[in-house]
Amino acid sequence: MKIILPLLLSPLFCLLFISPVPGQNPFLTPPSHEHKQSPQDREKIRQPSAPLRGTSPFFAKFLSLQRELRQKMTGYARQIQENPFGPATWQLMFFSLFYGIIHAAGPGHGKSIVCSYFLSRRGTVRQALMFGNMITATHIFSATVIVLGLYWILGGANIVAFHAVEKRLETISYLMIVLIGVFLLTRTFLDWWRADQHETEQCAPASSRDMVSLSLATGLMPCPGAALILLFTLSLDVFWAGLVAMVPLALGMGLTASALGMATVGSTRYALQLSQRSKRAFAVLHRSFAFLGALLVILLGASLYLGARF
Amino acid sequence: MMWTVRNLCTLLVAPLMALTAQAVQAHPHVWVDYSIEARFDANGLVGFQQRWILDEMFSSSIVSMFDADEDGVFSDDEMEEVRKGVFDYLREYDYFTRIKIDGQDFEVRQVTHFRAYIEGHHVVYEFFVPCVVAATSSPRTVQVLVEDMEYFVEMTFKPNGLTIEGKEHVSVSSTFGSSDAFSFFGGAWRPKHLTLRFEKST
Repeated sequence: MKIILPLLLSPLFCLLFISPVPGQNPFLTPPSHEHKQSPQDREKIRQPSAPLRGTSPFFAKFLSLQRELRQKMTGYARQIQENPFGPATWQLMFFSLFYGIIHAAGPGHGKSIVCSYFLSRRGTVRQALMFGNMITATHIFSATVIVLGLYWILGGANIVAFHAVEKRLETISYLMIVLIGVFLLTRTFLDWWRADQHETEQCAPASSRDMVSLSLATGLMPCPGAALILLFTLSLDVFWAGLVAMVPLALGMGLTASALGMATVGSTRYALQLSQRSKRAFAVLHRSFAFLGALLVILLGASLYLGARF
Repeated sequence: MMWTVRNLCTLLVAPLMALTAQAVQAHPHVWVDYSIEARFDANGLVGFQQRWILDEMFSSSIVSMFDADEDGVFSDDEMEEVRKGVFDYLREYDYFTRIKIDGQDFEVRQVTHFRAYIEGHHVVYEFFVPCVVAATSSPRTVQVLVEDMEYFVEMTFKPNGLTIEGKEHVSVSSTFGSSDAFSFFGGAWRPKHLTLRFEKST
């Protein structure tokens, strides 16, 4: 029973994450296959593949807040164009931070990776803070480097060129996530084998190496929201303001991702503490967490890869 | 045994809560305000003219790419480039439009009369979705949902965003709200949509 229960619940965990949403701009995304261009061969009616959405008043409020923040940022960027060092500069920075916090609260594979990893490995609050910030900083940095690269090296940056680079990076990013997931799963099995040999049950700790690898693999996919801000400030000739705004934006998004990481660290730790009353329950639970976390990383990477390719 | 099972359930639910926390929020990057004009003629419904106002940031990207002469106006050639570059791919997404006629799915296979223009700081798209439904003596119901199913784009219906052309040909009533016609994730997401009820004018 103890084994069956986690096994039954594991698909439930997976369902929360597995959604073939590569987060591509539909205005710019050509059909994955030529045959899809023929209406006769196309999927009959598109079903929602986005993560869960709700219609509660809170949800509507949350959406309108995001929209309002983006509008305010747009206004401040225009004011900076007229008065580069006026109060609008600071307001843009402050609203970028706030927008980052709210924007990152939406579903995204970066946060799923952070939560899956801390399900698989025992982390600390400090590690959750570090991982959450590292993964979002890489995500923003990737977008910044692409826009800067297009601007300086190719002589012009636009959303289509950005999207083309993004499409090329996604395959690499998703495959790297799968590989790291396989590595984590293999290590989990090795830990089990060692535990059986020595008859000691220990939870594998989170490691900086894993977190850096996962941040680089996941963050390689650039943030489209950051790119839109950068391109907008570029079009207004206040690109410097867009570049500076990336710092509070990354911090804001990092704050949300870290908070989710910390919630996972705290809840798994609490769950394991409770289970320590029974040695057997503890062993089953921590092994289930380690296995599920690593499996989720693989499934997430694989579903994103397949979603992007097919 | 019962203690263990119950506690294992509790223990597994704790991290589950932390994980679900990030799966119930939204993540749009582009915002669009839309309005709809339902068009009728002597035979009944002809289709829907849609007007989309794209948000300022995305609009600015489109303008900087396609307004080649930077005169603040899309010429016919530039408009054609906009259509090819940042509109036609939406066919893959049914132009974010789902229609049900008397409860049956109607596939949006094509749109016509596409126009793009710059209005203030915004790019505006206009296009027509053909959807022919004959008016009869018994009421017909047509429901229109405009949403991006991938949720990269947040579609917002403008206040008073419905106009009806050709009212003289039919008796028509309309509502904008949720219904069982479009219900997803076991009813967790019931997006608001347009419902038109019409019959032959007496």
